[in-house]
Amino acid sequence: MKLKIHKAASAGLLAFTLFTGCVKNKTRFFDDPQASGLGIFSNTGNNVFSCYLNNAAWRTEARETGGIILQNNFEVYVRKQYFDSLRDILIIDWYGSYFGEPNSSPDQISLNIYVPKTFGISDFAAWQGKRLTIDSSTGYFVSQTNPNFINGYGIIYFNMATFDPTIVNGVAGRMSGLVEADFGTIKLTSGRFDHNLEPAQFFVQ
Amino acid sequence: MKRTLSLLLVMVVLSPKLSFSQLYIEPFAGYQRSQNSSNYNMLNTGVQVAFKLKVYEILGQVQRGWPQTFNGVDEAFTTNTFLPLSMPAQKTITTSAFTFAIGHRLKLFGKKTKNSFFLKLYTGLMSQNNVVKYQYDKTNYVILNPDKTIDRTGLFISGGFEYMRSLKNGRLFIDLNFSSPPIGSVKYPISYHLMSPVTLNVGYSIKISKK
Repeated sequence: MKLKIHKAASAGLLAFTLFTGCVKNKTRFFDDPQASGLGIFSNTGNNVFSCYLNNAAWRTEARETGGIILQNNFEVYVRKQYFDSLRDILIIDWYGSYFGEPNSSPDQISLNIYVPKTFGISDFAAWQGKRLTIDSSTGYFVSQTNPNFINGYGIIYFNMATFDPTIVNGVAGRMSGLVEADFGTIKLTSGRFDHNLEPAQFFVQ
Repeated sequence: MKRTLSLLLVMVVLSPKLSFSQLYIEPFAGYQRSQNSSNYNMLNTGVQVAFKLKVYEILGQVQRGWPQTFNGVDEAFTTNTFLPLSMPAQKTITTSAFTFAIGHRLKLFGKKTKNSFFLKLYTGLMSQNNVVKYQYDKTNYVILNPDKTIDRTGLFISGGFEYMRSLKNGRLFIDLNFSSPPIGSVKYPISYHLMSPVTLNVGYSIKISKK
């Protein structure tokens, strides 16, 4: 009887270790004393986006990497994809929820910016220090509450938009800045983001 | 905090039994400057009690670093296209400190003269309070990498040298002391350091009782 309990405990411990072993939380969240529920505006690679949606705090999920069986969990992805024969579109997807409500919606906020077919990583880096107005001619924001999508317009400021030229396999970089958007019924205010972008989440060549 | 207080209690209990031959009260005042940041300096005052034993003295000290304000500038940004992209955010950091320490005064030179040199070692509790305030357009702008008020209490150690001259009714002393900051990390990306003060004090040792 004792042996069975011992084996079950060992198997449980092994399973726990395989699922959670060496998982590293790469998100650092520091409360902004000026904005309750939001993180500070930073450019040090805290890997978090937070904002108010109709005055309720919304923030991205924690970035967790390094688990043995569990897949890496990233809070943001940046990718370029085909839009039409003349333009591509650069998409920034943030995954999160209202603060304190892990399964709440919207669970995704996206920014879609129309870019030339030739848009590359150096064009991304050229956004550093610029405010981009997102309107019908330049792109759109999306608030995703499955299966519904609400489009909106706004402004994004890139305090930092860089890439690491030393990375050979894939692209890595960093981006930080501020965001405001209007989805009609939903107002995104006081948005601030700060991310280190790893090759697994940065798909712009 | 509980652990710190427990360690302090152990430290006091383990001190040698106080069968002293002489008691002194020693008020002092001086100036302190941080070893890890040239911006931080302040006036300090304090008092210590010295129990003279056969070969050295045990000290109990309280010291106050009086509030001093330092100015700085951070940058704030806005998405409002009708306003300039950035503006300076005026920052003031008001720093003050308080220490309670148990120390030892060991004579190095001057056994038979009026002029003596001592080695001093202290351990105790240090409390540092750094209050950060900003002035900027808080409605439209957001500060990049803002600083935060930090109030930290922790164990510290310090050591230094002292010159002392024996007078008719007491002793005059000047000491230079190097201190660690309170132990422990600050879990916030502040741009400033907790002070690690180097202190220059002048004081007078008043003889209180004699066996």
